[in-house]
Amino acid sequence: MSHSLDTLQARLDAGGRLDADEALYLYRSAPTWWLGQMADRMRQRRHPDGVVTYIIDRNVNYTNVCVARCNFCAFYRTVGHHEGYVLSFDEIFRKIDETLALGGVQLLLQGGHNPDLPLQWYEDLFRAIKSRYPSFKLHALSPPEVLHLSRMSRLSVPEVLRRLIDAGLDSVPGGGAEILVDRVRKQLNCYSKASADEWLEVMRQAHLAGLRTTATMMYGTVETDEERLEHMLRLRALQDETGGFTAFITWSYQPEHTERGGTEATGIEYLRTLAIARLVLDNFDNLQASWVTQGGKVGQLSLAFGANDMGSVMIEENVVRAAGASYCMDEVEIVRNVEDAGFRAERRTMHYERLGPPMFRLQEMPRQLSLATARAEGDTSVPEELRQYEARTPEGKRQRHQISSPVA
Amino acid sequence: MTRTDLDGELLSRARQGHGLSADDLHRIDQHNVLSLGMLADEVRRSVRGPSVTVRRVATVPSAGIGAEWARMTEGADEVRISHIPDSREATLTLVTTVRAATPETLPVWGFSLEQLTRASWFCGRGDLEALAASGLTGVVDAAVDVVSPTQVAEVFEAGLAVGLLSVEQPVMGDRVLFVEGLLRFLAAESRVRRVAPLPKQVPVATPTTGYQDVRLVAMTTIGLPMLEHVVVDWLQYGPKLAQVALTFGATYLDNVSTVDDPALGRRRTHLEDVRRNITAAGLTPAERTDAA
Repeated sequence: MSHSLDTLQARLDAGGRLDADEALYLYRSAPTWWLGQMADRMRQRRHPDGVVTYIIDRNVNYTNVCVARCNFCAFYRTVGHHEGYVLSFDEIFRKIDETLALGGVQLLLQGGHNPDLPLQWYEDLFRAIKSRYPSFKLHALSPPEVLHLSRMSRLSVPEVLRRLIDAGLDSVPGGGAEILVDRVRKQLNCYSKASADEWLEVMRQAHLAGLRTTATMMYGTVETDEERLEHMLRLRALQDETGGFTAFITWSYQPEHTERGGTEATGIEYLRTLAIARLVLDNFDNLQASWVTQGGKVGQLSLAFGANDMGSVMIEENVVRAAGASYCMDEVEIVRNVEDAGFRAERRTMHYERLGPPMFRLQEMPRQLSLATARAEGDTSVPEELRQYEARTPEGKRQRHQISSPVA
Repeated sequence: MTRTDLDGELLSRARQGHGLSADDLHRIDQHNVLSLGMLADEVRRSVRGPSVTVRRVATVPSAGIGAEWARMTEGADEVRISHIPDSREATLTLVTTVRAATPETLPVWGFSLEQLTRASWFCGRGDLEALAASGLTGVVDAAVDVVSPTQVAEVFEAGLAVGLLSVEQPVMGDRVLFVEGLLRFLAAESRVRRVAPLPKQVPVATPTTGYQDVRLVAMTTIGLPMLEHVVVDWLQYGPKLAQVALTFGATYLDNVSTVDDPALGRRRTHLEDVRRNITAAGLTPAERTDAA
């Protein structure tokens, strides 16, 4: 089929929708300037007030122990590995205290598929957090983690979600989507953690349970252009059905220290992917800039290529850092970039409710020129409370026994 | 999505190598970042073509050259001395040593002009001549916000070249004033044909933004079409911003290391990666072939 930019521009301007073939044509053939200007126009139509939002939250990884073994991940450690960790409830409380001091409103809480953490551990953690910090939000557990808990507990996904919601879960992050095409997932060794259908089904169930979620896409491994677009189109279809996604976030695969290795997609490829996402995902309100993978400069330029949100201040980051990216932007820096690009910066919640002007303009804030990590290097402590939970693996059982029988 | 007739007229003048008036430049600078980039890309393609020059540099380690020097210079377009010793004698000895240890086909560049002028031992023309006699091909760069055209002329008169005009501190104010300043500098001293508009020194807490960087590259491209190259430092600015800058008019990636330094992250140094970034930007990689 032959396409023309003028025809497609007219269609998009009239509020029309792109099909897979048209999207592929634009992604491959449209000049970068054209894509950027169309995406910017779509962004402007959806967000005419010139506001770019961001959230102050902390990206906490409660454990790095994982049985999934995705070959693109540099963060996980196998069961029994000497660098494997589980954060204690007290460590997580301290992180929340620090987050609150910076004006933060939620934790983005995700971790490995640790077979020695049963559902009850999550429920107790969530309840303990909500008991101490009633208004603090828990944006927690991506679909593969929910699926992992469902498999371990032998409860259905809706039942696991119900129990987590009862314990305090507020929303679900869109991690673990990678590319929602099973051919790709098999090559990335992430098919068994969640197939494309399973990932989407967890999100469907979360939306049906009244939760809002985000959606993500990690590109730049083995997928084709067609598969990137298939990923977007599957998200668009679910969004048509449920309307439960608040935002879409895409980032490039970070290759360093991973089993898969390879190279990272370029900055221009990121901007083109972001722009085509704005055009294809016509039922998503919000597109985030991934400054944590692209750096502050291209992160800011994302605002000209369809993004309307600068994501999170993060405060802490472990997963992308493990794969070689170590960018940092505190609230001052995010706001400076937003305003320099000609927008007004406002804080928000995960639900994109506006919370007002930058926090550092309301109260004195220390600058943060580097992101914190889950733990100080060399800290191998094992949380006391783990003794209350039954471990499944021999290594986990040995560790529990050591906690229960301390050397006098 | 279409440019105005006036944009077309201004572009036409820029494409013919003519500088634009301050009013014209102010008008161009009003464009949003994408429109400005698009205009700069048009000027760049018609004046300088789609090719991007890559300059591979073997930097002399501050601890001095050792057994690995021969390996470090493999594939280099030039050798570069970036640190400046405390005394005249030590500096001349360093240049002599590097020159002697480096294949004759490779030029030895060193220092920035402002670095030299700040050195306590530096007295001007005589020292520049001594550096030339020691085997230095030229001074790497001269920051237009620090040194004068007269000082640059003195370098040439001493028998040295000047690689490019640079900027030490971020351009925080009017970009048009910056372009006009460059035009005046070039009118007074026209032998340097390359300009690197992005600052060499950036505050850690408040670095320049992506918009500021690419707008400056675009305005330099449009306002100074007579230049041979608009330059971006690959090592300092990294692949993401450097690649985007190419689409805003930059034509020359300087300081691409010949040696992968794990401390910088591997993505900062691989020549293959540099070429991949250029191609992904829709441009054509071309390494420099001239000795200077």
